[in-house]
Amino acid sequence: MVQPEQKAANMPPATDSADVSPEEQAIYDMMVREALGIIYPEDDPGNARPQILENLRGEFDQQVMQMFAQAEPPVQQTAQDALAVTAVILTMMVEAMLAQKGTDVADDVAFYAGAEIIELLVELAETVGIADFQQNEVDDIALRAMDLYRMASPRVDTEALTAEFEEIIAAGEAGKLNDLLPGAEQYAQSRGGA
Amino acid sequence: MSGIIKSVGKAFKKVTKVVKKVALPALAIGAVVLTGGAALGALPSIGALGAKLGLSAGLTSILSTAASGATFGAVGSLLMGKNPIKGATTGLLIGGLTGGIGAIGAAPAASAGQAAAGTATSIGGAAAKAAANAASGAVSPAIAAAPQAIGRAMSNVGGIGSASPTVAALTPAGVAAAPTVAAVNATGATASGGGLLGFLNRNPLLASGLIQGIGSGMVAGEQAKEARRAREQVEANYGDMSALFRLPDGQQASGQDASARYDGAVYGKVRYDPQTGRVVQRA
Repeated sequence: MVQPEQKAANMPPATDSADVSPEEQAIYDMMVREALGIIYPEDDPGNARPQILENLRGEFDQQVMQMFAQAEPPVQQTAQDALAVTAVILTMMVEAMLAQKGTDVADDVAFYAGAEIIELLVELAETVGIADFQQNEVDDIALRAMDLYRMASPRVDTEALTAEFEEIIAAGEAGKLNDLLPGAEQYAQSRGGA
Repeated sequence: MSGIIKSVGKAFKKVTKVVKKVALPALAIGAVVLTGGAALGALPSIGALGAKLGLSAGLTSILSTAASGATFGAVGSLLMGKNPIKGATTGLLIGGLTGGIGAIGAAPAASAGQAAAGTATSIGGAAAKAAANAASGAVSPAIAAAPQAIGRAMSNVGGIGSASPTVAALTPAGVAAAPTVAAVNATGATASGGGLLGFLNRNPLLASGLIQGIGSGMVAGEQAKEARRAREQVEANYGDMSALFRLPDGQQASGQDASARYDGAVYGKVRYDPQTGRVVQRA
């Protein structure tokens, strides 16, 4: 099977960061490094924090699970769900920590930094032998995490997101879906999307 | 949260180098998860509804992928008990770091952690109960209050209704979606301040100490860091002669030789007499 990354050859080059301002990049860096600081404590950077490992093994406080009580399907005791939940909690914590410092994180910065946080946790989970993820599983973890984030994050603005979805519908009707969501259609087809 | 669609395709420079990355098209579909999920409700139902809603074939395909991808939890491999940990090393991760981990602003993080602990302690069970009520309220009354909820769901997807008026009616998930948002908004109404404390206030579930795993570890770690910083500050204070007394500029010592003034032999010749309260010659 052709990997999704190969199918999406028409995506913009990932190395072109001209559309990212230095300020955005700086906040992005801060966010990822804050996450790293939580995952790998400063006084023992060679070892991941045990609590993070517990989370990656699906050991969450009952009340954490309540945060995602609306998830459909419910959060499962799977490596993928454990990682998605951990990533969402971690992302929201980092956002809150930066806000505490007076740094406002833009939505798109949080979106991409959250993706890198997922990648960090995937790397960690695989390094310690909790799981071994296929590429499509990593992608699915990201999608699941975004759905869980949508339910739990206080920054989610349903009306604004709904308006954006209308843009997607309009682009679909105009046959310009690939302009708005580069590579998404091909990717969906490669994944067997209807 | 907005501007997600416009941000699709942005290329931030990664902080770390990892082997497995989220594919860029998957991120684009993630934007659909966020926006479509917010507009239409839970994704599993939407995935099957794309064609019925009259959406384009391309978007239907994307929605289907978004739904199946975001719901893999039900079919993922189960974590059976506590897996043995071979030893958590950072391995490639540390090697790939382009910056220092210690870039974190420690003091605000510590205060944030302490704030988290304090809030968790002070709010305690009441918040947990309130949160549990809010959560259950978002679920169980959904069926009983279906007409109102559907109404709200339809108002939420008003724009989509123009594309297909049957969205809300066809989407059972839409019933659950509106109360979910309502529950989040309800907790948001109690917000005070920003940062972690504000976030916790907006989320009673968090405030009641839910982050046993991440949160408690972070708080403990930050407290340990704070203690170490205090110790280092004390060491720095006494690490040189800067704390010793010095005569103000322009003043000089009397010139008396200190060794003569404080000669131990002199002190040996006198003693304090408690009877008279005076210093007298030793016998």
